[in-house]
This record gives sequence, C-alpha cells and structure tokens, in this order.
Amino acid sequence: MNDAPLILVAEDDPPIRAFIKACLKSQGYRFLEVDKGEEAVAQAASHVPDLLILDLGLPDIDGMDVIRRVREWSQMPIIVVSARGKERSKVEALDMGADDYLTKPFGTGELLARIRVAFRHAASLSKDDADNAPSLFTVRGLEVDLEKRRVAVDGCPVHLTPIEYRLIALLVRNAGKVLTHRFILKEVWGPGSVNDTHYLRVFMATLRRKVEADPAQPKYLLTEVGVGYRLLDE
Amino acid sequence: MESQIEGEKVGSELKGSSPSVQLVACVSPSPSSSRVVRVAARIAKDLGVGWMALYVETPETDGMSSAERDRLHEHFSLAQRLGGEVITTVGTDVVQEIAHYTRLHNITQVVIGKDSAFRRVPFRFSLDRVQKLLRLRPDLELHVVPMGSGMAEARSSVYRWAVGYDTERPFTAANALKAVFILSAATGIGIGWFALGFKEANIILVFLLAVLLISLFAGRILGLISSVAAVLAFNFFFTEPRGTLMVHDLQYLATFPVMLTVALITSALTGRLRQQARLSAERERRTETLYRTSRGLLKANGRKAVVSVGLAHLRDLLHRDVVCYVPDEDGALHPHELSTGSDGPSMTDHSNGLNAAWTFEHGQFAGCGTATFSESTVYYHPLSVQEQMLGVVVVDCSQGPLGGAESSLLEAVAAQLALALDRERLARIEEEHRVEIERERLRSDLLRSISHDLRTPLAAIAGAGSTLHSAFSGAGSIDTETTCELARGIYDDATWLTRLVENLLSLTRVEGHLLKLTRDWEVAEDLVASALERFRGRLSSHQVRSILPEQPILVQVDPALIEQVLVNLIDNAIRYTPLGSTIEIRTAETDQSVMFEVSDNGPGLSDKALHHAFERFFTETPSQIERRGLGLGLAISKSIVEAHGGSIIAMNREDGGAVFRFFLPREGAPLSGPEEPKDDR
Repeated sequence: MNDAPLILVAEDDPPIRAFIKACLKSQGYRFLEVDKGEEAVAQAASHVPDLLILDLGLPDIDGMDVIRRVREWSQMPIIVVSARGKERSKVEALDMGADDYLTKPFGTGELLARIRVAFRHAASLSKDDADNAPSLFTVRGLEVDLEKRRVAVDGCPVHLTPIEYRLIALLVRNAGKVLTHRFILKEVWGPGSVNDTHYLRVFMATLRRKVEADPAQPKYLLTEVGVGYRLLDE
Repeated sequence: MESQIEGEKVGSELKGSSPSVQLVACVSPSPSSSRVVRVAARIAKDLGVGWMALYVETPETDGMSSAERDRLHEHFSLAQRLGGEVITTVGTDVVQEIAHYTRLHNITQVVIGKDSAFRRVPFRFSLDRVQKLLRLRPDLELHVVPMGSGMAEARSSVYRWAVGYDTERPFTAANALKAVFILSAATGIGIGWFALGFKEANIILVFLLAVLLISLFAGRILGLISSVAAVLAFNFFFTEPRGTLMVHDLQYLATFPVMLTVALITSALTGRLRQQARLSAERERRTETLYRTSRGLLKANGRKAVVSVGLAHLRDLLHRDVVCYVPDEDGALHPHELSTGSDGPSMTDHSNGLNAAWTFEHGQFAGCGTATFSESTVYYHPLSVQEQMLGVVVVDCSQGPLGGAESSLLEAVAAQLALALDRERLARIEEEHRVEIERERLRSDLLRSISHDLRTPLAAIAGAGSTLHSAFSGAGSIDTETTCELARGIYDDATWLTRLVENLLSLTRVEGHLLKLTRDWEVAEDLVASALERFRGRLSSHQVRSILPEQPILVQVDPALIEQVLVNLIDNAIRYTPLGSTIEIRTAETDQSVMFEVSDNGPGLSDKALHHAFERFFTETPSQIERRGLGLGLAISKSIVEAHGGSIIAMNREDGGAVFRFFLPREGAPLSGPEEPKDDR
C-alpha cells in the first residue's frame, strides 16, 4: 500500500475535496489534503508527493504562486482545477509549468484519466530517454509511427504535409496532455510566431479533415476551447 | 388694491425662471464703466437677483482703439468676476437697443453711468440718453451712476467719429485719387453746362452728386473734404469774378453755407447708410450662421458628433482654431479637436488641460483678455446650462483677443453647443434610468423564475441523496439498479443546474454591461466541436450531423461565449424534438459574415415561438419535455451574438423542423494564409 502514489489535493471546497478523495481512494492512491495555498507549498516540500491537484482559486495565495514556488525545486506533475470561463488563468497556469487542467464540474473518469496521463508522462521524463519512448502510437484506429514518419487511420495511410506531421508528432509525444497554443506554436513554428494562433488553428482544422471522420465531432484531436489541443490517448 | 396687484406681480415673477436676470449694467469702453459694473453687482447682491453687463455695439464702435478694446474687456472680466453675465448686442442706437433688450428679457432694473460733463458725447450716457431711456421704458427702475468728466475721452470719441470710423473705406491714396477724379469730372461737366448757359442750380446739383459719389466710393473723410472742396470749386469756377475765390454778388454768401451744409449732410448720411447696410448684412449673416449651427446641432446625434458640429461652426465663424474639452463618464476632461491643418501652438497640451479644468471647475471665463491666465494665448469659454458645467471651449487668440462681435458670436454658438450637450447628457441619464429599470425588472423576474424552477431538481437531488445515504448507513437496503438510477438522477439534475448557472453567469455578464469580449481567432468547427463535447453522453438519443465547408473558416470571437450560444441551440434542439431526431449543424461563410446553423427535423416552432423565441422567460412546454427551462438560453444567445455585432434568427424548415441561424461579421480576417516553415526537422 505504501508503494501507491501519493497525491496532494489542494482544494478549499469540502464537497469537491470529498469527491476527489472518494475518487482517489477507489483507485488505491494515497492522498493528503490541504485547503490553503501556503499549506500546499509546505506539504509539497515536506512530503514530496507524486502529483499535485491544485485549485486555482484558493483563499490565501494565488494558485500561480503555488505553481511557481513548487516548480522552483520540483518537476512533480501539477493538475490545476478551475471553473469554466477562466480559460485565461488556465493557460497562464499551463504556461507557468502546470501539466494539465480540469474544468469544474468534472467527472470521476476525467479526473482519473488526467492523473494517469500525468503519471505516464512523469515516468517517461524520469527515464530520461525520450528517444526510447515507443515509436509506434496507436489509439482507436489512429496509428502514428514516429520512426517511419507514417500516419494511418483504420489502416489507411494518411498523407500529411511536413508541418502537419510535426503537429501530430508533437501531440503524440504528449498524448493525453493538453498543449497550449503557445506551446505548440513555439515547438512547431519556432519562438518567433507564438502569437500567430490563427496559423495553428487553420493547420489543426486541415489536419483534422485528414484524420477525423467527422471534424466537428473529433475522436482523436480534441479542442480545448480557449486553451489548446489534446490528443486522445486511451 | 394697488399693493395687492404689485404683490401678485412679484409673486408671478418669482415663480418664473428662478434667480433670473433682472438687472442690467450698461457698460462702455469708458474707464468709469467699472463703477457701473461694481454698483450693479452690489445692487444685484442686495436684491438677490442675477445681473448682466450689457454692451451695445454700434457702427461708431467699429473704429474702437485698441486701448478702448482692452478696457472693454477689463469691464467684461470684472463683470464676470462679480458674478454677472456679459452680453453684447448690436444696434444703431444704444438707448433704443437697451430699451429693446430689457423689454425682451423682462428686465426691470438698469444701472447706467451719467456724465457730469454737459457736453454730449456719443459714448456716454448724457442726460439726454437717461431721459430718452426713461421715455422709452417708463416702467424701468434706473440707477444712475455719476461719472467724472472725461474730456480726453470726448476728444478721442470725436476723433474716432471723424477719422477712425470708416474702416471699410479708409483714407488711402487710391481713394483720394478717386475723389479728385470725381470732383474734376463734376467741375468739367459744370464748365460745359456753364458754357451752354445752364443755370447755376444745375451746377450745384452736379457738385452735390459728386460729394455723394465720393462719400459712397471713397469714404467719409474724403466726402467731408470734398464737400468743402466742392464749395470752393464752385466759387472759383462759376461765381463772378471767376478764377478767384472772391465774390461780388453777396447773395452767394447765403448759397455757400447752404451748399456746404447740404454737402456735409449728404456725405454724413451716405456714410451712415452704408454702415447700416453693412451692419444689417453682418447681422443677417450671424443670424443665418446661428440658425445653421442650431440646425446642425439638432441633427447631430451623440456627444462626439455634437462637439464636432459645434467646433466646425465655431471655426468657420471665427476663423480661429478651436478645441472643446468635454468630461467623460468619470468626469475627466478630454479634448476634442478639429484638425485645422494649421501649425499654431498646441491647444491640447498639459497646461491647457489644467487651465481648461480650472475653467470647468469655476465656470468662469479665462485666458486671453480676462483676468485669469491672462498671459495665455487662448481664451477659455465655459459651457454651462443652469449651473451644470458641460465643457470648455478653447479659442486660439495668438492673433489677438476676440473682438466684440466675435465674442458675441462665440457666446451665441457656445450657448447652443451647451444646450445640445445638455440634451445629450439628459438623454444619457434617461437611458441609464431606462437600463436601470430594465435591469431591476429582469432581476425580479429572474428571482421569481429561479426560485420556482430550481426547486424541482434540488428536491430530486436531495431526495436521491438522502435515500442513498440512509441505504448505505444501514437504515435499509436498495438494489444496485436503484442505486445506479438514483446516482444517474443526481448527475442529470446537477448537469442541468450547471448549465442553468452558466447561463445565469453569462446573463449577468451580458446584462451588467460587463461584457468585455476576449476575442481570439477561432476556427468555426472547433467551436462546434467543443460545444458538442459538452453533450457527451446526452447525444446518444439524437443523431447529430455536421456539415462543414471545404476550407476551415476563421472567425474572431469570444470562444467561450459563442460556444455557449451553440450549446444553448443544441440543447434546445435536443429538448424540443422527439428521441431519434436528427440535429444538423452547419457552418458557412459569405464575404461579410460567418454563419452557424443548428436545425432539426422535429415539430418545428409554433407561430408564437417564432415571434417570441428570443424573449426572456419565454418557454414552451410540449408534452415530451420532462423539464421546462427558464427561457433564458435563447435570450442570452441573442445578447451574445449581438455583442459580437452579429444577428440571430429563428425559422421553420419547409419540410418541418426548426432552424436557428446566427451570423457573425467577418472583420479583418488575417489576410496572409498560414505558411509551411521552410525547413523540416
């Protein structure tokens, strides 16, 4: 039992905390709960949890501060929780080093999926050999072979332009994780074009037309409105 | 009986325009006019009435010396400092004008200065004028302020009357040449007629005609000189002994003075006539421009338009640069300026702003020609209506202070501008009240509606929760199926409540005028996709088809709000159609707009719904709907779309089913398409 991952939950609303707790317990995770930002920073330092679930609206200090102070010394995955309509602060948190986010209200499935993705990415990072990551990615009929630079849907090869391929490759390497527009632009186009989000949107739309059966109800390339994109991974 | 009548009269006056102006101080450029102003201010204060300084501009005053002009301005600013208004009117006769003005404005008290000098001087109120005024307005209460004798004044006035008077046709060589020519021609004609044996009377008439023509075309001074010259010429050429200035026939001694007098009067009258014609033309021009200004101001809609119309007219009338400082909603003054193209000194710099603010705060004239900021090269004119300060007009005076006519013109246009601004202010206040009332109404409707509609789902959640709680705390047992059903019920109700709360939040954003769109470039189908994403699990009951264009459409919107609109439309389609219906979502673009459409093949909208679908709290409750909504979704959607500058419509398809369509304007889409980076790492 002691081998189970330790999760620090920083959330000031008791019912939500109780719900998260129930959810974590059902999966056998160990957890710690705090309702203040300062406590979250202190507990993170003393217990070194494997993951931090952080509400951005804590009563004492700004969630951004918590992220910044934890990031000073640790790369532990951080999942931020915030209300709908606070897209800007989510993007800010992600750009500051948070790994993923959840929008209230969220379901059990969503929460656990985010946790799994976060652990997986943390694991591949700690192995420190990203090159040895599985070069073949498959999810529900979508196949991306990073080694052979091949993309296929339901066995049919898809022809992508170089930039489209770089987009999908980036998403595959971060499968399941939300990537902000800024991050994708920087990785694919270079740091000079981080503000040209319409480039990205158009490329993503054309990529979807090639990969998705119905681009308006995408199965793989999910849009997180106002934040970025996420590739489905399970 | 009499006192009763008087009392009534006073009462009715008091009921009229409140601290109305009831006292007029008649000022002139004379240095002693300042006493008139002070006395008037004191009397007005004692009586507790408003007062004004009245200056009548006459043809004579056109040739005012600059020292007199300065003094007049001193009197004006003194009057303003002492709380009086300054009015300039134009007329030919000072006394008649005062009588006319006081009658027109129901003014009962007049303060005038009276000369102690017995000479009659055009600029002073001699005894004659006081008497004349009393004759014209016997009901006036006159306060006569004695003045010191002013011979120097008198001289300068006579001099001006004679010399400085005619500004239009000054004493120039060309005019003198004209006079000599006309006089020579008259002499020539005279000699001709004399040779033909015409009577002398004819020749005298020719000379008089010459004097009239000279007065008309060469000015008054030359007219006067030529009057004398004509008499001399007549004497020289046509009386015995001819060729000399001697006279043999003594009856000419009677002819010459008469001829001289007639010539002098002719020239004087002609000059005056022309002045009056010019004056009335000027007055007509002013009236006309004022009329045009007021018409322009009436047509102007919105404060900005009002200010620019006013400024444009002022600039055209004064031929000077003008700027208007108007307070914004927070009371901070902002300059509005018409670009004149001239490169004069800036009138919107910091110190000007400060001076304008002072003028605005104190409601007093300032700048060039006044006692405050007199070193400034601009003139600050406050705009106010009934104590309400509305702005400050700043006029460039780098080419000299405003003249009397210009001042009155500025006064008149500024008054109209102030009225127009006040009109805008009142309209704004009324609009605010209207919005406030509307908001209040909305709030109460909302409360009523919420308290009614929230009860059902909350009761269901509470019931299910307590059942589960008691079942698992050992107070009974329920099977897994029931547990699952109860949990599902809680989840569904909570989802419904969440959507409701989100709509309420959008509503407060939209209605509270807090709606600051955070626009970003989005691809239309992304918005559709994420709206559909919100219905995960609920869409199994319906078929959703989306029809997308070949090329992705970029549109600059607030993604969260437009997503909310789509969610509301899809939610509507799900709720108002039977299970298994098809919902179609379409996006398309035209040159001007991007269209989103959500349609279904359900029963369609009733006539009533077609008309009222977008009104708040409008709901219909067909049998298959388990729970009615608040009737807010579509109303909010409409507000959101309109906040984006778009429009939304509802209609029925010909083959049955409802269609909701909204259009968003395509503004400045990024022209350059995205490019592939050159290298491919």
